Amino acid sequence: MLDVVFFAMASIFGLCSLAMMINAKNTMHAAIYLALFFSSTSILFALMGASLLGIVQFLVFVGGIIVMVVIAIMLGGSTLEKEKNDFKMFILAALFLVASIPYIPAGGETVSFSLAEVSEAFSQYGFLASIAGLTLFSSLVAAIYLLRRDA
Amino acid sequence: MTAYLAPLPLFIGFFAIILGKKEHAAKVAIASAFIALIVSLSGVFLRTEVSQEWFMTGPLGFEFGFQLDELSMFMLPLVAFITTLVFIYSTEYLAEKEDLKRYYACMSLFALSMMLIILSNNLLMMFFAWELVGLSSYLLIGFWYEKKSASKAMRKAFTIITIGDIAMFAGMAILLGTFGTLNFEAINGARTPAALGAFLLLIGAFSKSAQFPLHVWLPDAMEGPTPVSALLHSATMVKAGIYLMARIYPLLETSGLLPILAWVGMISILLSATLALAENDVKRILAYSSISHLGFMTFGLGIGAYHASLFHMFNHSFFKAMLFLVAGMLIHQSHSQEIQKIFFGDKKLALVALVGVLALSGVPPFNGFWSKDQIIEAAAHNHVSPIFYPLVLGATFLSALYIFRWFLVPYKNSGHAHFGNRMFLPVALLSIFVLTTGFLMNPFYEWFEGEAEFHIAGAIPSGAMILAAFVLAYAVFWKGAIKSDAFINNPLGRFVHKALVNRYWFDVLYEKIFTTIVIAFSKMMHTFDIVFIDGLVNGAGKAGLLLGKISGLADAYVVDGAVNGIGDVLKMWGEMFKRLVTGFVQTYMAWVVGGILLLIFFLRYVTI
Amino acid sequence: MIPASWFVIFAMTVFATAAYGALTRKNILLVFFCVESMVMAASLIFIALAKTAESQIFVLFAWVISAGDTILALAIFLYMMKKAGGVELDKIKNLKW
Repeated sequence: MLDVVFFAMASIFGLCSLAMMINAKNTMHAAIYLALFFSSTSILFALMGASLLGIVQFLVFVGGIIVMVVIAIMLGGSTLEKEKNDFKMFILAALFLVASIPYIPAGGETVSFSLAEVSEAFSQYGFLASIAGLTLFSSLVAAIYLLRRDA
Repeated sequence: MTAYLAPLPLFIGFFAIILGKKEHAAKVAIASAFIALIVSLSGVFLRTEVSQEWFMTGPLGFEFGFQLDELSMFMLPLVAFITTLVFIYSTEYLAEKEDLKRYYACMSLFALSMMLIILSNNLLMMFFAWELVGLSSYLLIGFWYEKKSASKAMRKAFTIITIGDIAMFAGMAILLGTFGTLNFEAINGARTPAALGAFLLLIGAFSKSAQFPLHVWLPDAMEGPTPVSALLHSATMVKAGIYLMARIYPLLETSGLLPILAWVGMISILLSATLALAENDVKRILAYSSISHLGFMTFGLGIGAYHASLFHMFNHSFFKAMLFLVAGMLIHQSHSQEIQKIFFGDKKLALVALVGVLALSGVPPFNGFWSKDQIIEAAAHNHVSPIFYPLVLGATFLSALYIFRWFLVPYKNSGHAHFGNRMFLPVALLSIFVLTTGFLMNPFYEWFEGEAEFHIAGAIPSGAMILAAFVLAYAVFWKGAIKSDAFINNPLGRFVHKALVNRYWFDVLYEKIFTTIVIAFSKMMHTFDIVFIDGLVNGAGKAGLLLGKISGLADAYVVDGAVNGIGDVLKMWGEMFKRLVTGFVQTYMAWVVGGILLLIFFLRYVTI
Repeated sequence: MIPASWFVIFAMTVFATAAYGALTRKNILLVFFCVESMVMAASLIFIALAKTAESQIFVLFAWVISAGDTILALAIFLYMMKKAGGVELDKIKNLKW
């Protein structure tokens, strides 16, 4: 019972924050709304049973990505023009919902995992995780190069 | 030697003259003519026919042969003799500066072709020789071709002769069809009438002998040198026509064409005799006289006096040649050709001229009287028409009148004569012949196995005519009793005078006809050329242009169209598709989204 | 427990909204935020229908990649601010035909 309440709250919260983000007044507001969206998805992850992922998301995205975005916005400027809504794209996007209808599973429950299972899975993929870190490192180098002073 | 080799020396002489030097030309010519004379005399009593087959086409055979019979054997020495005398005469008559090589070469060519006419035994060979004679006469008439009148005269002569030649060729073809051969003996012996063919041959004979209506060339032919006239237009070439008529005489008899001969002859006599009275040129009077006497011969053949005509042909050669040579001497010393201006100047010259004049008018005992009288007597008993006898007497009167005029008018003039022996001796020799050949009448008739009859009574009317003519001529031309003004003041006289001066307008008529035909024909040819030939050529050119244009159009529209069309289609697609590249990144994202949706639909609904 | 289909419906809604935002917005950062949201929605669906624990590892790797492109997107944003002074996407038309 409590799950449903939490689910309802988190989902509505997420959708509203997304809608606000799209129609934000300036980019700083959009970043904040994005942070709120991330936090709602984090709650949803936890509700699904992937608690590790929920925590990691909150730490990485909201703690790392959003911070980075905020710093970048502060460096760059946060003005935002008023935008009008395009109907054609609305239809196109709505088609996604239509397309996904047959893929909704009939029933089924989400599976939740214990910490022991997850850590055992992690230990198998530790090496690959460090490789993924190198990917991030390469993108960092690229960003540094792109923003050097004498470019 | 046999007589048919007589042309051979002249043939060799012809080439010798052409290839040799000018100084030798006369000597070679005289020598060759003399050798020809001896050769022809050697066979004078032969009666043979020598023949060589020439070529065959199917059943028809053409031969190359000589016939030596009574007809050819009296003409052949005659031609050679007069040729020799004329050559001797020309050495003095023609000055050194003339083109002597051409002269003697043409004369030799003429002589040999004349002999070939006489000797040939079939129509084809005679036709070849006929053409050669025509050619050499053309060349000789126009010897002084730089003179405009001379070149006109030579062309006129050749035109008339060609008309005769065409008729003769057509006649030959018809006779070949009728008889299957052209041999004279065969044609004459067949005794079948062939009127059309023989008539066409007669036209050829008339053109050569200057009979009406083809007589117009002979007066103008006097443009040539006098020896040429002496040889061609008195003694030999004009006789060729008579000779042909004599050759085919049996054929003419069986075809019933003799009345034509008689009428043509009579008209020619009267025509030329009247024209001679209005003529002032000394040679032209003699030319008309030739036409007149040839008319006598034709007339004689026409009324059946075969032997008389041939005898007259024989005699006429002598006195006419002599008269021409005398005229040449008169021209040479007087430097003029009109009878009002020329003079005799020497008693010898006047004497020989008188001999010729009397012979021509028919005064006995000169040779002209004997043969002419025979013809007049035959006219008295002719079967063709009763009008001939009075006409022939009138002709006698007229011919005596004009020839007395020819003698008396210059005789009044005086001047200094100068001529050499080489000109006088041939004339003198001919005068001796003129005096004597008349008495050869009986032998001549027996030559032809005929019989001569002579009646004194028949000679009286013609004698009266001659006497009357002499009286008139003496009165008018010598004494001047009747002036010519009386004639002119009369309107009829004026008309007659105008007619005579214009030669009865025959020349004008012929010229008009001829030029009209030629101009019309050339206009037709011109039209044909412009319309058809040029049309064809231009049409081919235009067709080529048209093809080129079509090809160009095809190239421009079809080929280029295809190529440009492909390019245009591709360009159109390019224009269409380039609008995809907006540079606006969200367009690309929209396409991606669309593609993913499509993929989803495809995966879920299309595939199982 | 919440049925998995509810998560899927929610995630699809988020995805559709974010897709609309990505296609429509003019500011580059907003487009980028929407792309991130789409990635989150996809990972939500992935976990909702997962049966084993390895699916969480997989989602982590996906986040690593999206974080990498976040870095580059921000770098581009800063670069564009420096160079052109504006980050409106409809002003950037150098590659237009």
